[in-house]
Amino acid sequence: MDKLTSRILVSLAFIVIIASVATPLTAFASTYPQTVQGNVIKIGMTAQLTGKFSVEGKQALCGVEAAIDYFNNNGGVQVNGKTYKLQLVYYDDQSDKSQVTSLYSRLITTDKVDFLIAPYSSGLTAAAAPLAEQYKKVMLSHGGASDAIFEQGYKYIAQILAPASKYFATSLEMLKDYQSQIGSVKIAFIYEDNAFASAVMKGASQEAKKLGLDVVYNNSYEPGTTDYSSFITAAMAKGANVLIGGGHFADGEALVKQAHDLGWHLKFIGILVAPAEEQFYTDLGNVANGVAYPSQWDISINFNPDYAKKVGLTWFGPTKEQWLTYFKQLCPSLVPSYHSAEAGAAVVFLVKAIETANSLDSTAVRQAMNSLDLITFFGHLKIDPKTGLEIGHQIVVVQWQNGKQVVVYPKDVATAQPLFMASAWWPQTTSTATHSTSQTPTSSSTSTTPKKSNAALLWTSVIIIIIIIIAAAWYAMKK
Amino acid sequence: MLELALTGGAITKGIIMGLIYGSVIGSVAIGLTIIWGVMKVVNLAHGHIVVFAAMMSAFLYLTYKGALLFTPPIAFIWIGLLGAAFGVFFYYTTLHPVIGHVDTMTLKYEMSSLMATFGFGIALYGIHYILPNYVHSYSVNPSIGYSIGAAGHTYIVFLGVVIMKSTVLMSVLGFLLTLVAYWLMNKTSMGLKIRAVAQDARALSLVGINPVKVKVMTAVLATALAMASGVLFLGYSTSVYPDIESTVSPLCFVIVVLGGLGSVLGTYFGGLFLGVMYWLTLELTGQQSIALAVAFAILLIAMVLKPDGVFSGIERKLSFRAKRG
Amino acid sequence: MVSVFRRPGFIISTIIVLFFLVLGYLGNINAISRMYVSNGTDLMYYIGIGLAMAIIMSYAGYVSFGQAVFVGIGSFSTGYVLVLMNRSNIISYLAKIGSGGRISNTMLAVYFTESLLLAITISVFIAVVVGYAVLRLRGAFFAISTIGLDYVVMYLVKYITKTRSPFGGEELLNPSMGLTDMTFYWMHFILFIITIYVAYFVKISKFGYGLAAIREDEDAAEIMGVNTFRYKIYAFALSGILASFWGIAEAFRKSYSIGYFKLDKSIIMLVENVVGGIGSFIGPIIGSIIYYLLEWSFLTTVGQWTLVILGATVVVVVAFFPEGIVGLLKKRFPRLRKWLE
Repeated sequence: MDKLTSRILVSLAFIVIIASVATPLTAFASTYPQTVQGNVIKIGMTAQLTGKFSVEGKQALCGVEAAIDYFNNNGGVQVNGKTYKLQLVYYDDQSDKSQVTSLYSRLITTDKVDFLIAPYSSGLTAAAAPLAEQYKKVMLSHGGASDAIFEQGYKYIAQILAPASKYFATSLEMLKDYQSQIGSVKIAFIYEDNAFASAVMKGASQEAKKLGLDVVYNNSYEPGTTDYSSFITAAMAKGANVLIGGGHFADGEALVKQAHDLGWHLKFIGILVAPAEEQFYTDLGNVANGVAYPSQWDISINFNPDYAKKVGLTWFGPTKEQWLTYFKQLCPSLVPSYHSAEAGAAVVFLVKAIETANSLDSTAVRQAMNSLDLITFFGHLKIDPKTGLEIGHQIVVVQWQNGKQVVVYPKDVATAQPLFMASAWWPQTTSTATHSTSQTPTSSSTSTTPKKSNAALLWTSVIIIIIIIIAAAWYAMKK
Repeated sequence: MLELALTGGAITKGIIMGLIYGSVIGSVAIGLTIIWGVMKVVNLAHGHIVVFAAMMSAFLYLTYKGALLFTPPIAFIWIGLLGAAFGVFFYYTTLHPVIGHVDTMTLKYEMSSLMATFGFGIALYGIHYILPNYVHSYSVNPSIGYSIGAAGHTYIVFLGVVIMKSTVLMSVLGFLLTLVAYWLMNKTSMGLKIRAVAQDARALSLVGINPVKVKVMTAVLATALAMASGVLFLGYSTSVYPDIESTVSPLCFVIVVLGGLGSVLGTYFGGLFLGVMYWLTLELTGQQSIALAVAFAILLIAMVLKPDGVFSGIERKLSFRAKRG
Repeated sequence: MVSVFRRPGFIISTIIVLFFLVLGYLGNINAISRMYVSNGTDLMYYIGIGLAMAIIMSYAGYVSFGQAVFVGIGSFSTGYVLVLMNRSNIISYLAKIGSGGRISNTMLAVYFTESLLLAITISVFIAVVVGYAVLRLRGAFFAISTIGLDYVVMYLVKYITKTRSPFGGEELLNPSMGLTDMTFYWMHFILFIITIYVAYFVKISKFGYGLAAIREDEDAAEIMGVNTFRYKIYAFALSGILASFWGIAEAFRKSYSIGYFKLDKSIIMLVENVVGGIGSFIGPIIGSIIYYLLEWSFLTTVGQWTLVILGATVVVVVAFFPEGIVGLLKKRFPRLRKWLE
């Protein structure tokens, strides 16, 4: 490289560096997305658009934006006779603790947000919590399910979703309820070693003990594991016939996949997080049928003002259809899961609290939250005044049946009967199943069923291609 | 809390599963041993390239609903070839400005190449998150396309151990990939040139060979192997997401050092050894964190006792025997 | 010999310390300056880990891929003191009865010192015992053996955490202590003063010259009478202690997580040194500042594109400053040379 070009390039690199040094200084002038005019209430959050929580983080962001759009297009928020619009300020935190603190600090100090929404997952929420506490900003936790956060004595954090310890309680109750149909229940817990899943499984094993269900295997695996066969075969050896586990999306999916491939004849499968996403079925096809998950919310559940009237509580916020309309406009390629619904519900709960307190002061709003007891499109919301722990919301059990997610328990909101054996899990040839409810058709339109005739063709082509490549390489080298 | 299950079954299972796993992870490390051991480029992007290939093939596989061309046993060949083209890109954007005209690699150049590949690696990692309509984690169905004949079963039982057929297939393909790499590096003039450029680039140019061309060749070979093995890794694990890199990368570095820098067969055997030790510990203790700690402790011990690599002798012996025969 | 206090390196480090001191006092003025307090805390952390790495990498020429093990040990010590010793109820209780819902400075100092002692003990133990074996290796072999060290310790710590904590092995959640970001800032500041002056005095001491001799030619240094092996162990242990300080600081602020052990944390420490320039004291500081500012400004402006742009920038920077910023400045502006020690 000659001297002139190198000099030009060096100076270019310097420009890049100087520009990047100058950017933080311009922070005063620019407030990140500036779209709303007039009186605004600013809501701040960090979104997990990259890194390990990116699937859940994107859902949550869309859910929050959809709820905000609903309020802005339906009369705004009334405080003290004035009409306010909501504005969201967010940054990408790379699902990393080291970024969260400074970004929340920026949200509070530079962007001057009025209220905060916590990041997804308990670990990130724990990193942001001291700041919310210090600046006395209400922070609504929509993804920090771990009970431990709320046992640490924080006063400005409130929870929207049901706490982790309650996750599998309904599933286990269901197993107890239908025990006459399924016979003996031997549970295996195989879960990811993270704060959330550990808290869930701790709660579940206590619940199982309370209900008198038999837990035969209990082990956790490292995040980032892709091969679960050791755990699966160990649980199979102990005769387990109910699998409960998972952690986040990718591992939950792989766990189900491998349990099926290793021929584990299960009566019930409850997996955290993963089956809630539409992608679970796209990826797994027929194997997904029969897999159930504890859900904070499901798209098929219809909480509406009539239901609120029936149970004698107030209704607030958008109906499911209204919220879905805005969601579809913002994120057309996503199918909302409970991650987006709970994040959207955080906004609804916040708006109701602001209107009840009739003030934008965080302390007053947090006070008002204690008295709230309402039904939203996400379901029942009520927090424990002392800790901020969610006590109103109830978990439902949702199961994949014929490529659709249906609610199977509790009975008052159920839309279908639970299925204790799916055909994909009990091969026709070896099936000794007698339960009539369990047989479902094997083929479904979107599933990718194996094509047996392809195997021979496949092997021939593999061998031919290998030979061709070796021959070509040989020829090239000889030359 | 920690209880040992010292049974024959656990040991058999540990060895069998370990060999299967080791064969795959060993083949994943070969791309690194070539670029690092031979060209002295500490390639921090290796794990990212492997995961990138796995993500790409999973994406294509699911987009085309499991079409034959995109099933791992076939995809690994053409994604490997695609990797060759990607290797040219990788070399000219990242390595050429740093080591293109360097004759012998000193510590300074090793550090610069390390930095450059670090930059390339995180950029490649970031790309996963900015592509539209691209989901960040995938799971593929290994029973599609390559379940070998038998009705409905995706697994076989061998010596009382339940083994997924797809993983066996992937380990066999991993072994084939290793043989191809070994053949290219040790039995062809290309391999000879590649090893020569590492020794002295100037001497190579004296005999009329352009050293830059050979360096491109090395990067291309290493990247092609990395991408091909990435697809095998996907076929083995059946699910992939970008953060897998933080597990794959350290393991690759460990295996390469265990096998001796630049030794293809040594690396493969290093992989097998590590795989067996990992699975044995996992089976005996049932605790994955202990198993991983043991895997890395082995590295520490092996390096202190035998810094040239435990398995580096294998290749020498083999080539010696071949010459005699 | 020029008095230590008039040497350029000392003056520069004092200027940096004064800058953070002033920033700390200005932090209380208004909300906007509070923003810079938070950034300043992060910046001190980045410079701190860069300087900790510098002692083994930049001074002694031994590249370590596993220096994050010490950051991890530091953060685990804090997690152990605050959470695993089952005191979280006591801490939260103290925070409630204390003034304004905050634990008293005395109790904070007690917990802080306990973490320090625990972290230093473990770090020194590991550095000496493992260093005794692995510091015989050179170059890439040493670098990779430290990855081994890092992951062995990480998985063992994980096993301990998993069996003892209700949160699983990945993280521990701090109890509410009612601390403000100013408290964290001053905690970082104390550690920062220690780190920067230790790093500087090591550089100009006889020990530092011995390390430089090892970096340039280890065999020659051995012949000249430098006890290279002992020097290397000292450097490794000192680097470890300083790195563990920053783990403590971070864990007080953000709670412990297993992420502090990960390979990418070591790589960031390494990148800071290479960007700045190997062999100098100023290099890692400049490198850390540039790396932090680049990352932060991309994060707040381009969001998801951060990693792609950051990666591309690193590639460009390396291509054009292979000797680091300090090397380039020395070459272009020979007059600055005496300031860039």
